[in-house]
Amino acid sequence: MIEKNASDAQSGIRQYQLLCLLALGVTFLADLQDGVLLLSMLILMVGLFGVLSRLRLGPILVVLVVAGGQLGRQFAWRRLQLPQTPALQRIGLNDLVLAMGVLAYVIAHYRMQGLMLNIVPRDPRLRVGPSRWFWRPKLLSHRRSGGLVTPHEVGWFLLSLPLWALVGQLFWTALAPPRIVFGLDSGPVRVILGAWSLGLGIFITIALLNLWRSRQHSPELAALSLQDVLWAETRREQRRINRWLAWSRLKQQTDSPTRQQGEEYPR
Amino acid sequence: MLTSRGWLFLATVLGVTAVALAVGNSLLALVALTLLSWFLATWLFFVVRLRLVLPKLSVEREIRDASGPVDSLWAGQTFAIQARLCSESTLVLPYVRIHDRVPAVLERKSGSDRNAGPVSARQALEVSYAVTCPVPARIRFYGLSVQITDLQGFFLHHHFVRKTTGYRILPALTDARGRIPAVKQHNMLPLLGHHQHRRPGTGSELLDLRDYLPGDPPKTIAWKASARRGRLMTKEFDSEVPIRCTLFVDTSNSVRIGGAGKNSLGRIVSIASAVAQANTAARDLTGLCLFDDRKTHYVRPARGQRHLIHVFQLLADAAGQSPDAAEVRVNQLLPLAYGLAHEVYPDYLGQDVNAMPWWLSWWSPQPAYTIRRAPMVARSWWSYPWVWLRRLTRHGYYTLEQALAGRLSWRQHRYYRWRKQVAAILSVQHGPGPGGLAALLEDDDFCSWHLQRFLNAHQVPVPLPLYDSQGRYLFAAPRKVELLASAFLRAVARGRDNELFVILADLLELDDQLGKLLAAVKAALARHHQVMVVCPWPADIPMPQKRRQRSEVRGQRSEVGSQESELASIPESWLAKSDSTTVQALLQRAMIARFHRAYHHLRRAFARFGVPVLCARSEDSVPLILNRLERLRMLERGMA
Repeated sequence: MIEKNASDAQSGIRQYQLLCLLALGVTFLADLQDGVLLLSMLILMVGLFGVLSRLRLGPILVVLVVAGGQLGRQFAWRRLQLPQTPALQRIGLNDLVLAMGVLAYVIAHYRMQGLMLNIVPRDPRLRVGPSRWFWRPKLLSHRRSGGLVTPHEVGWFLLSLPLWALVGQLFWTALAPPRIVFGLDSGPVRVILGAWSLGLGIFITIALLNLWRSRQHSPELAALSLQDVLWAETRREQRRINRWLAWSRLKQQTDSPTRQQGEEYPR
Repeated sequence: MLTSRGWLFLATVLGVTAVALAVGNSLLALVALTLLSWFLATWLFFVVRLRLVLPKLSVEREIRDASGPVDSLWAGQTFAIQARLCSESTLVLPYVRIHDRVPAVLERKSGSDRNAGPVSARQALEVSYAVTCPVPARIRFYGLSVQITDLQGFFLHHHFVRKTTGYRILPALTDARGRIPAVKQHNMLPLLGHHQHRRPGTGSELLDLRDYLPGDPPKTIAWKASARRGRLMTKEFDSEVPIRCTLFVDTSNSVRIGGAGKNSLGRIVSIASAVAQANTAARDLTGLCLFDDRKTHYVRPARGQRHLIHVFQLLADAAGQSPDAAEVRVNQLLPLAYGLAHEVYPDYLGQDVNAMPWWLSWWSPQPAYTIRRAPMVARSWWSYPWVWLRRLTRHGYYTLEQALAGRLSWRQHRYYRWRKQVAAILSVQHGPGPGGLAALLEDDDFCSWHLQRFLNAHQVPVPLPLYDSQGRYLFAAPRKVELLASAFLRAVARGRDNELFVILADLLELDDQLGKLLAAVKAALARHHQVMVVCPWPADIPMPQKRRQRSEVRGQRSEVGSQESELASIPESWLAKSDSTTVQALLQRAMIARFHRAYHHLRRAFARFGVPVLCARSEDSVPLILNRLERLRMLERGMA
């Protein structure tokens, strides 16, 4: 039974390792279509290093290398004054595959971290052993058991990849057309528009979720919420009155003859 | 909600997206927007799933022993605890960590109080572990602490599924000698009325012969004796009455100090339960009187299993009591209370229901005039200016400290935030009302009292100061002697035959308060009752030596002074251990000598009436009480 559990755990980790490598291969091939082998090789090397060394920053490094490669190519083309296609016309199947490859690598790597390193943040109070002198033992890591990885989970992960790539393309289609507002270039306008859309969307979502949560409050939690509103509205007056009362009570106790003579200690 | 891993990823993706949009790189923008949309969707799914599933989570708990589920636990035995997190929702939580908060009194023997995995309507998550209950007490389980995360570890939600269940740990079952029975000694109960009383009654043993009186039942006529004497004689039989033993158990603050199970009250309760069981085994009657410095609770002497269980329940409830609130600084209690609130009430600390403006502690820190300080009293006219000057200086110091430290210290800011958030919870739970929040924030004593109540209710040990700023012991509880004396007199007035009264109380250093109690004891002795006093003894203080040993020690130390002679009752091993000139060693020796002196004073006070005083720490206290009961039985049988 123990051997079976151990093999299940290892198979879960291997599945995500394999997915990482597969995603890395797809990304490499899609990136290679642009014809710069060195940059594609760099992505492959960094990705492989991230998988083999279980580096926590592995996915972020891959994203940064992909971004760096793309920006490098763009600046190189500008430097060489090569003709550039309009942004909207450039997106093709190859780009979608690249986006899906990067996303698959990121998801698989983070899930692998949950299986091999830690899935919940480590608590600085929980350590492996007691501290001795200046040596402090390692923090206790809570890993997800590899046996909990199900085919259902992996299947959904793979099937949802095209969806996110399409959603990304949808956003880009909405933001890409060049707009000149108040004399600003299309690039800054795109950033401002993107930031506003994102901020407003998150704000409305959070407001709706908070409203939903407040409808689920227990009577005690609702009382706490109302009390907090009252305190926020009247805290200045309440503070003044209660400080006065506290001072008066302390003064009464200090002046009390019973307390001075030590006959009785007030509770 | 968002973990450090999530923050780092979000910051990276946002940065890349911004750069991609700024430079207009379509491929990079597509990659970044794909990652961003996936991240935001994961967040939305996580939150929506939480909102849907959390109200449908519940906890099922079961405590079992070898024979099945139980409602009460027994001290000294091992039990298996199973707690299950169940969900009624059709949605699945992909990864949940649960942690069961084991009460401090219990000792975990095997198994784990943590588990992790998915939770759905078809799949519950369970923790299972074995505990032993070393001492009688009352325990409460509040529910399960739950951590919910997504599979990538970007989002984390703390939750506590509350379901409060309380159990009593009843005192251990012991035999007549106070030991845990290993084998079954008797297969049947002793006969009712085991102990004969030298009064005519309806017993089975012949007591006397007397002349026949009209109305005597014919079956009691002693025919042979009548024939010998030539007149009708009647047989008189023993009156078979049980012995009554009433236990007076001190539950005041002085015996509660030290935490449940580790204090003197635990030892007293163990002794009381052992005596009650031995009495029940002999079919004697046991009464119980619980008293502290405010109230008494009296249970009439009775016998039978039902009465014994009732006594056990009362003793278990008494043993689980925590010391009443004392003057403890709020800053000492806040980390404990906030930690507890963070664990058990994480949803009550959310910013949407319990917000704290970050600038408030900087803008308006606690003023110096609301901080308690030790009173300075001028004892003579000429010392008045000096005391006034000291008061003024101290007030200036406090004002400066609050103005500077209250504004600049990061610790003070943190504590102010904690205090506000905990005060809001206390105000709702303890019921001071909406205005109570501000009162708890500004009044240190009020806040300290409620914090102690909160911690005691959740069985968190509170660090209590034993002495006030003027050096007075805070937990002496002298009023209890008066209450004990009146309860004792009431019990004596109710007494029918010769009874045994056992006082299990901390009466050390209360010599000047013992007048009423000694009068009550005198009244009991005048009615031919027997009285014993059992005094709880601190675990870290050596027991006083017996008289013979003490005289030997005295002989060895011929040239001792009056102060040294007080140390004669301290065992040699302890003196050797603390034979040091450090302040701590000297203080320890002084404390030991003080306890021994108090014990001898108490012993002398009761010895005038022939009442023995025992230390509750000694292992032979239960057999001594039972011996005394046995002696009482023999007296009543006329054998001594």
